Amino acid sequence: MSAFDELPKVYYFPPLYTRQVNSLIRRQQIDTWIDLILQYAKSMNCWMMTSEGNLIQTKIDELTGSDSNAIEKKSLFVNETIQRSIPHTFVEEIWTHMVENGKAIRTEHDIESNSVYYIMWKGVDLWSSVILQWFETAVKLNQVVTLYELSQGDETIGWDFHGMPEPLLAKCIKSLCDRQRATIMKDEYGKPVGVKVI
Amino acid sequence: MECWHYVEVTKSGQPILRENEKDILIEDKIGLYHGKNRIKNRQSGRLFLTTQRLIYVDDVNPVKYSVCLELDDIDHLEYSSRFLKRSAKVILFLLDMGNLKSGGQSTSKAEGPINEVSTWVCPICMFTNETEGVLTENTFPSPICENCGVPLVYEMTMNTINIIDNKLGNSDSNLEGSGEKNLNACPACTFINHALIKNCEICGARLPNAKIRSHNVNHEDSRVLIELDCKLLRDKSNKNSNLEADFVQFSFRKGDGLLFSQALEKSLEDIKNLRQKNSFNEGIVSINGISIGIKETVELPYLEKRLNKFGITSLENSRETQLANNDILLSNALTDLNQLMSLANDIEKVFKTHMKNETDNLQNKPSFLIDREKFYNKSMFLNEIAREIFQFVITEFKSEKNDDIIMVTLVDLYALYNKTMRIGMGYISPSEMREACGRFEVLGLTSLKLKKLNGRVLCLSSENSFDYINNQIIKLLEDEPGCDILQITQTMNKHSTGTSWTIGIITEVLENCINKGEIVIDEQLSGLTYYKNDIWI
Repeated sequence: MSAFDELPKVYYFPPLYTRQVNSLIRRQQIDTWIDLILQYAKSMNCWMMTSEGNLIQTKIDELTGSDSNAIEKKSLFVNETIQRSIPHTFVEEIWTHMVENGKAIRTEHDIESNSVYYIMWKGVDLWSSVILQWFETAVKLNQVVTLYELSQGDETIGWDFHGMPEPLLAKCIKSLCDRQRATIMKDEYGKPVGVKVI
Repeated sequence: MECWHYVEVTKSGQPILRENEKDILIEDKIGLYHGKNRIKNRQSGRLFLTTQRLIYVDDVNPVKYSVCLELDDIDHLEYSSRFLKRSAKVILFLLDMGNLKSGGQSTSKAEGPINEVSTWVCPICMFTNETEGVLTENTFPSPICENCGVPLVYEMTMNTINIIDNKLGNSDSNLEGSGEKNLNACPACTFINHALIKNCEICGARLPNAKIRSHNVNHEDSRVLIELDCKLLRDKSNKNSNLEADFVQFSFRKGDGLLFSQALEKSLEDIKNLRQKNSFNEGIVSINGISIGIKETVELPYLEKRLNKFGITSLENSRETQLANNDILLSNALTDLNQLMSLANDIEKVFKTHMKNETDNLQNKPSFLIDREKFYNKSMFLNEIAREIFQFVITEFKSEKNDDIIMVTLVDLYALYNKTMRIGMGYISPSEMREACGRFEVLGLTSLKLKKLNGRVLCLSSENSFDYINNQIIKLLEDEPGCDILQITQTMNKHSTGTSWTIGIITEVLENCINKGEIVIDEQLSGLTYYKNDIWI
């Protein structure tokens, strides 16, 4: 798998896969893991990961149709080269820390009883400012733009947030709303569909 | 002054005993006096009573100031109890060296008891008696005639006394020129030692002529420096006479020393008894086939000579009995031979194991037995134990390269010490060992300290040992990342030949490294392996 090859050398350091006893060292170990997850997701251009370390390629809507191809077979948490894997409890600990640090957001969906996380290789605020920047450069201010357009439209190709799942996109835009820069339009089910940035 | 001799003492302050020498009692806080004067630098020490010597071991500088006194040199003792400010003392009167030199041989008393035999003819029954030693007018008690039981009257038998010197007769053939005086034969094992040796090289027994010899040679042992502390101003002659004082004193600064003086008196008596006893070939049955004492009663006949029966039947009968007897004789001989062979095998086995032991620990044979009963109180016992443990650790765990790096857990040490040193004398308890190790500082044994590793494991270690082993392990993990504890232990012990780092110590050091974050772990089903932490600092 080419994506694993791009990971830093520390990925092949056996003690990385054992929960270190020393709490100071463990904190750094968890940080290393968070960096690894972010880097991996970014390089694969993925937004979601199951708690077992498998990336999810497709959009969350299609997941409900249980499309198994959408899930990567190989888990980041299993390193076959050195025959190591992280124990389940330690994985939980890593996710907890990641969510606390705002580097991951838990979705409402579960796949095969594993929770799914959005991987935030940029923070929510950073994303919202990137989106705002797009609105400004694309001269879309004071126009209604659908979330689908933002995520999948041709105009956003080349921007980092292209391909971002719509619920996540909505979360990012929500912070723009808090700053009174945007309004979100919802459909009849209360699901956000469009946005107007002032 | 010549009565004081040099004594070898270990670094931890325990005397090294001779072979066959056993210690009897130990007394604390002793001061030495020669004559009436204090001896400088020897006012606080321990006094060991052994079967051969009185050994003073100084508290301040045991190696330099320790001296000993041969029990053989002591004539008798007096005990004076504590009175007001005066502490209890034992006064030892020494045998007069000068007299020994000139008159030692003319007295029939002790010297060389088997060397000379006097023969005399009883005036009553004309029986020729033999008496050991030289008969003189002063011989007391007078020997008694073996035949008629009348004691000897010197004046009447004067003419018939004939003195035969056995030694002269035996030895003039093989050693001429050296003179019979220098034949320093051991009374116990007959080994002829060098003329200057005082204790037999083979069996360690005190040689009979040691005193005369040392006096003749008149050499001074430079290792023993005795300085008297003369408080009062005296004129020179007086001082000289003090130097020649024929008594020494031991002052008991603590305790009354009564028990000690009694023990000393008893051992002096024992020595005197021993001297008068013929010490070799004790309990022997026969010499060169000639039996002594108990005679063999049953003699098996080879041939039945008394043929008081007639006819062919009787001849046949007698022949049969003869054959049967021969059988018995033969089988007896064979069992004897078998027994002899098995004995020989046993001896060989013992010899072999002994040889192996000898080569194994040639330099550190246990020198000194510490028995609980020899001590008045527990504190003294523990002090002595502490010294022994110190010496034990120093010799046992010393490596060739870095002899100052020692580290051993108390648990390991406890097992080792009890198994090697305490067998036959009663094991010490863990708490006693702990307490004894805690006393090192007080006893001036500073090179080893009791340390607590990771707040839980007690260790006996030298100053820099922890850092040393720490660095060693980290270096090792740098070279070979992913070692488990077994590999670490093996590699560590491969590098250093003498010292063996126990797995307990290494575990603790690793634990410590992990706590400090210098080492990280990798846990698998097969066990823990260790890596140097280069990443998370």
